[in-house]
Amino acid sequence: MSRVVSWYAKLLTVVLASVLVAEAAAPRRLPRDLYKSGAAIRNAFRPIVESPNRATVAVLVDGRQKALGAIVAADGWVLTKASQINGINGGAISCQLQDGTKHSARQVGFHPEHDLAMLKLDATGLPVVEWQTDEDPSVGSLLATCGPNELPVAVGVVSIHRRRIPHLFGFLGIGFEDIAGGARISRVMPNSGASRIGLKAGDVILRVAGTAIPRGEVLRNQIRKFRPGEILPMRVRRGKVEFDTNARLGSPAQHIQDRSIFMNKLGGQLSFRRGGFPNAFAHDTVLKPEQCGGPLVNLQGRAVGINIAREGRTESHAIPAQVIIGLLDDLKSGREFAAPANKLGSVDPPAVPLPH
Amino acid sequence: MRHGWFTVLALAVTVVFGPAVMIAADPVSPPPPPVARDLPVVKAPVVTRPMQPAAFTRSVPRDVSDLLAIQKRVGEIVKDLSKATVGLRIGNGAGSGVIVSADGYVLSAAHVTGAPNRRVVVFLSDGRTLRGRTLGLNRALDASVLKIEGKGPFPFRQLARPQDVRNGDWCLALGHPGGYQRTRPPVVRLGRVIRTESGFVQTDCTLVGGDSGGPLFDLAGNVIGIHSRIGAPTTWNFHVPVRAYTESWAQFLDGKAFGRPSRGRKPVLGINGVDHDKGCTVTDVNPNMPAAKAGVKTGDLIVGIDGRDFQGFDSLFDHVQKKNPGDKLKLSIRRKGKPVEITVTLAGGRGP
Repeated sequence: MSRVVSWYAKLLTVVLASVLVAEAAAPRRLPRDLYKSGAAIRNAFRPIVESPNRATVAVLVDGRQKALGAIVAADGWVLTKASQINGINGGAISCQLQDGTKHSARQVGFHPEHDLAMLKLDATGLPVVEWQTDEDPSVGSLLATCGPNELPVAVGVVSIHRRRIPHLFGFLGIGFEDIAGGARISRVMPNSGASRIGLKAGDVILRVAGTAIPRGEVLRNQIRKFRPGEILPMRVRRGKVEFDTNARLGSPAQHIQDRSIFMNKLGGQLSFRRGGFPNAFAHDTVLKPEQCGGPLVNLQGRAVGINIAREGRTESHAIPAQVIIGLLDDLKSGREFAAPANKLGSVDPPAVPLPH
Repeated sequence: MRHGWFTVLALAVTVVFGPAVMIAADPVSPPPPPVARDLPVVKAPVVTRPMQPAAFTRSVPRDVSDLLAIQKRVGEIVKDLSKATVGLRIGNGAGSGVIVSADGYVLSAAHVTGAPNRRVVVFLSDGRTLRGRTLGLNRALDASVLKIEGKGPFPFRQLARPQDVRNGDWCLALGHPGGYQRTRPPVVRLGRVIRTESGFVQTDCTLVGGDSGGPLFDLAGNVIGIHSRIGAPTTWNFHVPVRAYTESWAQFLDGKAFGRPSRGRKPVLGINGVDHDKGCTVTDVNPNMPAAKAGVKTGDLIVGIDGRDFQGFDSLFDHVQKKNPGDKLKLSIRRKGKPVEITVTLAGGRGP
């Protein structure tokens, strides 16, 4: 009997082994260079980016690439993403062209709301970006992100037509008041991250993500560091009991759409400043934060916009060429643009009535 | 963003090499008995893919005219694809779906609908908000079907034949990343089919929470997959293959809940990583999984597996897949410039 079993086991092993060998033999995955932004595909864009890549620079701060930039005038004017180069303790800014030459640069213009900076180099006769200003590219149009090389940095398509990009941050769903040593919850909104984990009015939030909460403002700022969908770890006191809990933050409602906070700090694989743009279209090109700030071109090689943020896994944002053109003269003149209004009320908005 | 703040975004995040984490709807109640109904459709609405222009099928676009041809086709079909793509709200969960028949059958993902016979709010891209009910679901393949209440006709796209889906196909992913937003149409992404397996289709169309249940289309405008789960690399986007629907169409319409998520069979390491010229960089270490127990840390650069060089996270994944739970794996790591050797004993879990 046991012999029969062992015979079956052997047979089974042989069968399994042959299955594994067969599976290993066939090439099952598309070669990497054939991926949408793989080298072979980007190579097909070579003639398209030949000219605009020459008008694209790497913007360096203290010698490290922090952004890309677009040469907008032959006498040394470069447009780039402001938050990528600001606030690095006044580091020395320089621009590297496709031919390898490096020019030191100074920031002349700054538009806080669009997050654009205008740099001036001491150079003349530079190649200039050619704009497509008659209309925005339609959804589904192919796009190439230029870089100071032979090929595009990456390619993609328009995902969403232009619109106001809200400044998104996580929404816990509480109102609170300051008390000594924490923030006391005054109300909990139904169907919010707070209500789902059972927080109640009267609970006191002591710590959030490892940071002590001496007053409500700190709580508000801590929550803002998290995006919708992220988990917020908290230490809470209820009566005499202290406990740890985790809430999943929801998406904020309309109240924050006019809000924009300029952050001069860098970090992560997403742009630190990635929301609060008054006018931008989204595309699906996968970029690094330091690959934003440069020109985005259509299949005719004309710039349809400037990449302004890596917003999330699925979206990058670009400011349309039309909008850019209208800002160039003011940015060159160094005119001061008003910082976006910062209308912050309580942490959370009033509950939005639901249709169902 | 009007309805956004209270919703739980549904997209299973495959913690790579680890168990799939479903960020799904509210706790699912046991399914009530399915409601008896007339079945106007007995077969899944499948069409054969017509002959495609060479510009779409070449592995590499030959020149700019091929790119222009792809762009032209996308422009021609994208409005219709958008009309058939819907946002869903089920309980506190949010997801996406695609209408596949004029009378309002909608494909989605099992982790979006959760159970048969639940109420659904369906958001069409023309602004209409309609009611629906979930029908059957296959939990093993993460496939589900629901029905919009009302007569229609609704805008729809049909399914491609499973055998027509091949590696290298250009494809479009539509859906509602981050959840349905009233002022934002379905979000469009272009990519290519990277892998076709019996249990999933992988593409480089980037997905995120809220996309779950949304459609993957070929350039003929037919549905070739339903968004299901992701891994850390932006090229790890997994879709339910259309065969999941075509093979069990009658069961879905009957409101059957079937299939069980596979567990404990695939070798699991418990890390996420991104590609590096010399191997891959560890971006996440899943606590309580083999890699964490053996001392692998976030930021480690893995330069060798079992004494051999490799390139990219996919190669590491492929190597692990050839092993069994319980097998040992030797990782050559560079940590802050210093070489470290770590041996990990693989556990069993659920693969992508």
